[in-house]
Amino acid sequence: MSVVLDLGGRGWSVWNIETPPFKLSKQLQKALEKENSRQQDGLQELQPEQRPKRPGAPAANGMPEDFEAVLELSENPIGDRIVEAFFKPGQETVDFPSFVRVLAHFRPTEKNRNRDKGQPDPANSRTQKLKFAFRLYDRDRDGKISRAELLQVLREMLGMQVTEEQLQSIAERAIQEADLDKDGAISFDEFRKSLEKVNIDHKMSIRFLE
Amino acid sequence: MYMSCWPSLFLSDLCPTISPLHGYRMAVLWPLYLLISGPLWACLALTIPDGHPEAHHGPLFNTSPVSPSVDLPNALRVFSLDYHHVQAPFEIVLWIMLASLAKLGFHWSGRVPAVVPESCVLIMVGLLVGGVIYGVRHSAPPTLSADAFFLFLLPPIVLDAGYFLPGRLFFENLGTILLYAVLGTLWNVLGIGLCLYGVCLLAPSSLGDISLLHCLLFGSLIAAVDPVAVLSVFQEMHVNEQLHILVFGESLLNDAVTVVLYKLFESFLRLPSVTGLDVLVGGCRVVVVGLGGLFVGLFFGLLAALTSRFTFRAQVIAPLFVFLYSYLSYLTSEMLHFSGIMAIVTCAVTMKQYVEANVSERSNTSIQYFLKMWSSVSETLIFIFLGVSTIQDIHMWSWPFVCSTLLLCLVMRATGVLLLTAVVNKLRRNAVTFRDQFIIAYGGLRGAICFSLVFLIDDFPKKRLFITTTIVVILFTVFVQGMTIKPLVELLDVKRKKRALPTVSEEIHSRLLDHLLSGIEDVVGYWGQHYWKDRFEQFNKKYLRRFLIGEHHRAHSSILRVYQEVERREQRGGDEAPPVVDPRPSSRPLLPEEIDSIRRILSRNLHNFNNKTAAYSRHTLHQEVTADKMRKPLHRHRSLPERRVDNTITLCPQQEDGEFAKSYKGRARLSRSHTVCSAGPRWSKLPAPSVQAAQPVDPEAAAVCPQDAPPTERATKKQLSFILEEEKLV
Repeated sequence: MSVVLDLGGRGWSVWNIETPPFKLSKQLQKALEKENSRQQDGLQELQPEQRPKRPGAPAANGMPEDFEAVLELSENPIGDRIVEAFFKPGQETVDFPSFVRVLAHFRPTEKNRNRDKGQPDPANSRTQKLKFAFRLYDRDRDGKISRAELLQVLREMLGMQVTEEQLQSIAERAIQEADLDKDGAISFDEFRKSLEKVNIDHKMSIRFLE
Repeated sequence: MYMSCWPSLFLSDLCPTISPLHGYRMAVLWPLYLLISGPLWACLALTIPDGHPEAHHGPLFNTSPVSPSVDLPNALRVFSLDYHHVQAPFEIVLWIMLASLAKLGFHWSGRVPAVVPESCVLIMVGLLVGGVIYGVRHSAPPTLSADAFFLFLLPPIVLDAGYFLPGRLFFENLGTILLYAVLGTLWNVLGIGLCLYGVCLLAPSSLGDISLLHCLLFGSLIAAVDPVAVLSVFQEMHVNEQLHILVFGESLLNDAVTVVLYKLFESFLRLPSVTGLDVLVGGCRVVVVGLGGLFVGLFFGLLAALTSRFTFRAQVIAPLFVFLYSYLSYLTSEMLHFSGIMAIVTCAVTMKQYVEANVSERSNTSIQYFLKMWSSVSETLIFIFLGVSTIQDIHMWSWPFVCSTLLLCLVMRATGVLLLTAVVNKLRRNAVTFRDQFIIAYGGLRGAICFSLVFLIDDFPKKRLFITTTIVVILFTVFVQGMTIKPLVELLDVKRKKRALPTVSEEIHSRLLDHLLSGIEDVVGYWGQHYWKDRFEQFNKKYLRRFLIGEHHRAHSSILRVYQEVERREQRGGDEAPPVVDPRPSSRPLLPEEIDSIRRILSRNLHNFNNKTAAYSRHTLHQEVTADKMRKPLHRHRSLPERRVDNTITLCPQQEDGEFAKSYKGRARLSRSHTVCSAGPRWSKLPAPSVQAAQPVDPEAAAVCPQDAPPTERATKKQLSFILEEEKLV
């Protein structure tokens, strides 16, 4: 079954969800099928390849519990943050288009994109990818990574293996390195600057999502 | 006289900008060097047996008769020389000594290392020695026997390469490397073999008796890129890591293909006829050889890891197990006709992380040191023997054959790389740029493996032609390509290795992204790179580490490694410029060792994706040495902290300016004296911040005014809290 998705104004992407290697977990696949069948009626008569999915339509929505059904995510140190990132703040459920929009961050960056000032950045641009990562740290969405938030992340990642003092000094050091305006927290620009040497496209892309 | 001024002339031609005094110094050093090594060469020239002992040996050495036991009882000799008793080890030692002295001379020779790679100089020395030997004895000097090469000289080099292989980078690029190694080598072999056969057909008069199979056999041995030559040239170049690992990984892995094809064609030559089935069997053999080497290596690697778990009661012999098991894996796979290089590399890669955890600090250092030493000696010996073996009287020259071989090697490699990269770039995330492709093609150096293989061919009329051609190709690639690749890299502005160490925040964010990607891949159900890495790490943690690493090491491992990393990076951390960020008054400045311990914790305790090991090339060995030297004083210092805390506390209440300044300086002096007895920069860094803080105070120490008291007070408080907290961390 093919699903055509509108990825934020940058065109369509066709997903064929039954052929490998693409394989959604069972829950999500069921959700997808339900929504797809609902969308089949009431669509204009377009070419089959170009039938878009209407965003915002009521459909079978994913709940946080569905994500927890993905077993490995529970073993992931930042698993709950990842799940949280799919949900918009305040929302209890995520619908399929939003889910796809989040995943669109992980498409590889196109090399020769003409930079139109008028058009918004596509989801898979470097800035958007970094913004997504930033949101993982910044749970309260205040636009800065405070020391407490950084400590929280470090605690989750390092777990029981280091002492509290060492965690403190690591967080201290990280903030010292990145904080250019000395406000004790890392803003998005400082975050971006500290990662300028890292090849984000390489690190944050899943290839088959082309 | 001519010999002694020739080197200085040579050098002055190379480096016209060197001052006359320097040139004079060089001109003095070189004759000294020749003076030291001259007698050695003379010994070599005269002592190597050549079948018929010459008469003039007698009066020169006053040797006793051939059978030392038969000594005419006419008179007791006060002094007698019995050379034949120690002949074999004596000569081996002489050769190794020559190789090492040549290497030493190379590094002392001023500007030469910048222009000429080490391998070239060593081959030239070998040529010289060979020439001397030939001139003295008028017969061919000893050549490198294939057995000695494959059994004794090659394993240390490959082991060293495998032990320090950057694991993550290698596995990320594994697909590309395999493609280059297998398909690229196949393309080269078939291309060179078939085209050479065409050349032979075109010149039937001189080359008519070379059959297709011979050409294919020759192609198979000349097409192989040699890891020894590649290593020695690329190490001095510092190109970006991806390029390095591509070329180097290919040179390691193509051994499987080369070995199989060589043996295949050789056995075809012996068979009366060749059928399609034989070719198919040959194809299967490639897979068997490669995988067989892999499994042998895995087996011995795990065995070594397990053995190292129990070595804590006899720590002195722990390094020995590393070498023994690796060598065993090599010999076993050679015995089974698998790829020995793959076995030894797999063994090294497998056992490394477990051995490093299990074995004591000193043993780790010993392992690394011995690996570097042996591989260095091996490499030097190989190149010198290459030079020596060139001087022979069995050369057969044929212009069309030699020139076409040279041309074909270059052309085939270039086209092969271009074609394969076009395919690979579609599948990779990081495209291989044209410049990188050029360097990959140009960096395909041939070396001693081809040389030994050509000697192993069964004798046939044109064998000498093959030997000559092989030597020419090797000399051409090592000299011409080896010397020009460095300027080309600079000319083409190929991306170089990143010099800066990653910052702590970079490392944290990178780890977070790794976890994020694994998570996303789990959500989507895609079994990508991160998924497999994650799975392997979990498997590793659950089963392998528990089984292969001793209990008492597991608990302390992170803390022990914190100290290891502190010590190791101290040396590097000392050279690094401090970050631009000024420490804010409320937070204390972090010591370098704290930075290092942070890095240590991050790179070990987070999912162990990025194993940054220390030195990778034996040219950076001296850095390791100094780090090692500092290790001792660091342990000795563990008893000191209590004393120092006392000092600081007693001095605190004294706030009077004159006295304070004195006592402050006194304290600084006290800590500095600690550094004197320890000779470690760790503690020398400690007074540095205090000296910085005291800077405003010390120059005015003679006339300290009261208003300096408050700032110094704050400074001392900062200093105190700094020291006390620092002790806590330790």
